[in-house]
Amino acid sequence: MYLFEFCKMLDKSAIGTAIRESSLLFPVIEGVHVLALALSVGLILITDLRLVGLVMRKRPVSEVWEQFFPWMMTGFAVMFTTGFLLFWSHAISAYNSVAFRVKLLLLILSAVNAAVYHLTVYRKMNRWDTALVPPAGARLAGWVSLIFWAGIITMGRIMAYTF
Amino acid sequence: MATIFPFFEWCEKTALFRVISDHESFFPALETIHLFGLVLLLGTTVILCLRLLGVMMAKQPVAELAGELAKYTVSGMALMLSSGALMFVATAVRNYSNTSFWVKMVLLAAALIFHFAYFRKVIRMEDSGMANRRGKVAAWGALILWFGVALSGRSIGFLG
Repeated sequence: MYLFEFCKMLDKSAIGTAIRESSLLFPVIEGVHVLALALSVGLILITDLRLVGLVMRKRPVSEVWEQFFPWMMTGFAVMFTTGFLLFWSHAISAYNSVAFRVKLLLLILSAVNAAVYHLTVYRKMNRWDTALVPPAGARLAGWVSLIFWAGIITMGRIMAYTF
Repeated sequence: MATIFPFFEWCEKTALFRVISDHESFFPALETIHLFGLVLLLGTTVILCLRLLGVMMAKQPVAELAGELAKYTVSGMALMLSSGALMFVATAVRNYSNTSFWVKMVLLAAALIFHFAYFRKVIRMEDSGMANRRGKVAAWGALILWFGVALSGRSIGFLG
């Protein structure tokens, strides 16, 4: 219940109320959240497809990752900032939304998937960096990430209907 | 514009309109597919634009990168146009009086013309490693037009 109290506090706060009631603030933040999908999920999509062995096969996995990383992180910084502001303004509705809970769960699982990949197959990358098709562990991490992100986008869209 | 209003009305008399409006989850599903298309189309476009500006994947020739990403760009465009057309049919009459809708259609036409008449030609012949003026024009033009389409599209539901 502490979690609900926290959501209620955010929802009722001056900032939460201001975003929710502004006829421009909410649409602008929401618009930026959607546009930043291109930079965040758009770039992670291509790095996942490289891991799976479907795109840019002639380029080492490490090169694609290093080149994409700063831009991808910029995209995710925008996503998390705008996402948190949107949550702030509708914290009670979000708390009660099944889609929002599933979205958060999938975000956490994506992080776990990335962490497992980095602690296992990624450590031996010098052995498969230039492989056209990376080993099974890497391909699995790529597919899982693709599926989770598709789920995150879907839950985000469904959420809007429950508010 | 008044001469084409009957077309908007006709859309809402079609069987397709019935099917979409009779199923509660049809429209949200179309919106989700539209977003998947956005990730593919704008994601690959952003990558190519960053490359044209010389700030990413500088070791890979532009034409080669464009060739690698082409099928994802085209798939994204196909998903966006098909799901977009269906959403249009489902909300045709409302769209007619929606300023954002018309802004989006004008920007979409401009973005598509720019893409096929200029952007695609530039990325296909660009094989030098360095960013040049032509590449920069193509990159900024594509970014401004496509993000303009996305932003005006988002405001169809919000601002009217």
